[in-house]
Amino acid sequence: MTPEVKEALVDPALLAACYEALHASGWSDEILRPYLYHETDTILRTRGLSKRYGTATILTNLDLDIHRGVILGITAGTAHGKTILCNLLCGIIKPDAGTIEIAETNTYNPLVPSLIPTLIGYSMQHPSFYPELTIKDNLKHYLSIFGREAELTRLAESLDLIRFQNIIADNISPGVQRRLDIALAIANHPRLLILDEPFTELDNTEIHTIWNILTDLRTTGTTIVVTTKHPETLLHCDRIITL
Amino acid sequence: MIPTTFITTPLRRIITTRSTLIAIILGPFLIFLLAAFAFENPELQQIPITTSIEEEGSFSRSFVATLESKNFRIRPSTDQNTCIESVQSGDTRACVRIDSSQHVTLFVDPTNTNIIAQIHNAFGDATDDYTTRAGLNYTTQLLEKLKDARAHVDASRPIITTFATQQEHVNRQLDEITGNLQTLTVDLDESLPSEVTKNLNQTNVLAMYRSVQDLRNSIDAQFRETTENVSRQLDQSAISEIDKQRIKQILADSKEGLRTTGDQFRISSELTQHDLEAFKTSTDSLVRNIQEANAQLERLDTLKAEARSNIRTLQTEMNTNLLQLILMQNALNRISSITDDTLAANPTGALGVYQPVPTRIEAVIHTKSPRLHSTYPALLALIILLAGSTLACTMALLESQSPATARNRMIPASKLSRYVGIFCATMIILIAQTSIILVLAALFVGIPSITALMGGIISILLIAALATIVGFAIAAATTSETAGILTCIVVTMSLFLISDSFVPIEALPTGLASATHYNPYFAATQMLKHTLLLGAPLSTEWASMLTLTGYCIILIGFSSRKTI
Repeated sequence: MTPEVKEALVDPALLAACYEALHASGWSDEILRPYLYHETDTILRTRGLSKRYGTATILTNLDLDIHRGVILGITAGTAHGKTILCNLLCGIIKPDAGTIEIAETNTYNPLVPSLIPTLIGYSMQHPSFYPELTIKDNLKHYLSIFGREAELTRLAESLDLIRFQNIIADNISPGVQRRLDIALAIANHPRLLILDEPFTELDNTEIHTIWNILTDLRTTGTTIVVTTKHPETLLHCDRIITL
Repeated sequence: MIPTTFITTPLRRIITTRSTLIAIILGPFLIFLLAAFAFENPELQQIPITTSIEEEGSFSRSFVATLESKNFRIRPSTDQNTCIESVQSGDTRACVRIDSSQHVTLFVDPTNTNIIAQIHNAFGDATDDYTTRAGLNYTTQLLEKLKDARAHVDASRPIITTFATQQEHVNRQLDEITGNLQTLTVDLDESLPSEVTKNLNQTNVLAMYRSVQDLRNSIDAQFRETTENVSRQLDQSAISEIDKQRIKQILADSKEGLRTTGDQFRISSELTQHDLEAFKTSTDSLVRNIQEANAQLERLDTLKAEARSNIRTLQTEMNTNLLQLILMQNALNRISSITDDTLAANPTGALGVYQPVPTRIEAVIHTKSPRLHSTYPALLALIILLAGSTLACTMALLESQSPATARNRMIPASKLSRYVGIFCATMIILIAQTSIILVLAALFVGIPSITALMGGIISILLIAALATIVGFAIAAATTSETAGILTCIVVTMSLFLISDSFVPIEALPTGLASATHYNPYFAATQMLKHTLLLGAPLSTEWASMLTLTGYCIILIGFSSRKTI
């Protein structure tokens, strides 16, 4: 099944014009990075991706291009393969058929396990952190794995976690837990951030907060994939596909 | 290089979880503190004992008083069964039965070995106290009696000597009397007539005379018959008449001569008869004299025999007395010797007389630290093994079942790094625990020496490593924290039960006893005992170290793939 592109929120020509104008007025490349690439620049692509569990076919011959610097929304019903697609893109599971390739400058290479920790950040359906530790300790742990302990405060501030940082992670609200999970997912400065059902159990305020964070991340050039079974929550996607 | 966060994060997680903090980290301290208090005082206090005394007496009173003075709680019992039942029900630790013969029987629960030893020693003291005082009394009396006997012996010696001398003198006199009697007998024998004379009497003489007459008549008859025969033969013979006449003449001459001779013989016989009559008279007189003399001699012999018999009896009695005197003297000499030896020993203490072989049950403890006995290393190894395995199992399961596990698949670190990280974190906690335990041990039970401490620390590290890996292996085989911890307890207690620490190896079945030597807990306790308790160098413990290392390697191979 080929994904259907339902809506393109960003016009590439407009994007290029905006970049030129802003760059000329002194905006840095850091801010303008998402706009450096044309929509057709693909950071990750799949060809003929298939996955089965027993007799159930989850994905069949999926060709997907994830363009650099955009927020891609993927929506589907329950048990339609959103999480499996995310796990395939993150290399956690292997496809039965097909390839996944990731862009290295101008070439595409197979997505090997050694590349994943440095290129991809993943916020899973269920937040994945140490619930017994404080938010600060969780951040500190994963930042130290990537050698980025110094970024703890900045990261906490950027996701509005400073005021919760000394609270045990298990004791905080789902919205904050999701923000923590996103913070952990981006601790390695990924080029591709995948969020599987990030808005589950969140109220509108928290959903907006998460979107603010994601749109901020997009401005840093991070490509974002968001899956959900509630299309209405896909507020700021550049593209939305339905499985 | 393993990022330190793989060590510090598990530490934070285990410490910030209140239940694990209390159960796994603080629990061992609590156990050891309790154990330390248990070891703090080797002397048991206020042990309840039931007594069943059949017949009240000085001994039983003394016995009970001694036990009470040693802080035993005495509970009198009505009979033996009640006494024993109190031990069976656990109300008291021992039942003491004292029967009317002062036989003391101790009924105990054989599993309470330390209490048995304590009670046995107290009983020994109680009985010793009584027997010592009684013995001292008896010994003093005995010595006094010996001294008296010695004095009497010394006083008796001159009397006995004098008596013996007198006996010797009497004996010699008796010998002289016997000799005189012998001489008298010989003289008498010599002075009496010969037997021929004694036997001579008138009857014999007359018989002889008649025999002579008969002989003569016989000769006459034969001669006559012979003469007649010769004459008849001569008449019938052819010889000349001259010769016949000559022969007859010769015969006639012979007959005449014989007749003459016979007449002469008859005359002489008649004369002899006369003499014989005279002789008979004198002989009769002599015979009467001899008979009288013989009668007197017989009386004399009787008297002499009586005298000899009396003398022999007297001599025999004298000899018997003398022999008894000699025996008495020997006995007195022996008494003197014993008294001398006894007095020379100078037995002032009754223990040396009445309890030459005192027995006591003493705990085998280190001389420099008497509270540090062999149970301590076994307990320490048990705490480390139990705490280490449960801690490692909990940490491994916390990690493998954490929500963060999914994220950890996407970090640039291998499973082995995380495995080693958790191993190091567990070891840090165990080392911290054992360090504090050793400090507590030094405070409560003392440490023999620095060498022993160093050897003990290395042994503890090895045991902690084994415990950690055992915990990982259990975590790899179980699916939940509860099941893991229960498995740790089961495994540890199983190892403990067949390790010689609780049940002696000799009490186990043969196969199980052999398997005990391959029990890692057995090797751990042996190594700790030798190093920490006896200060043995680690080089002598290579077998135990090899055993523990072997188990570590095997279990690492099993657990590293599955644990995380």
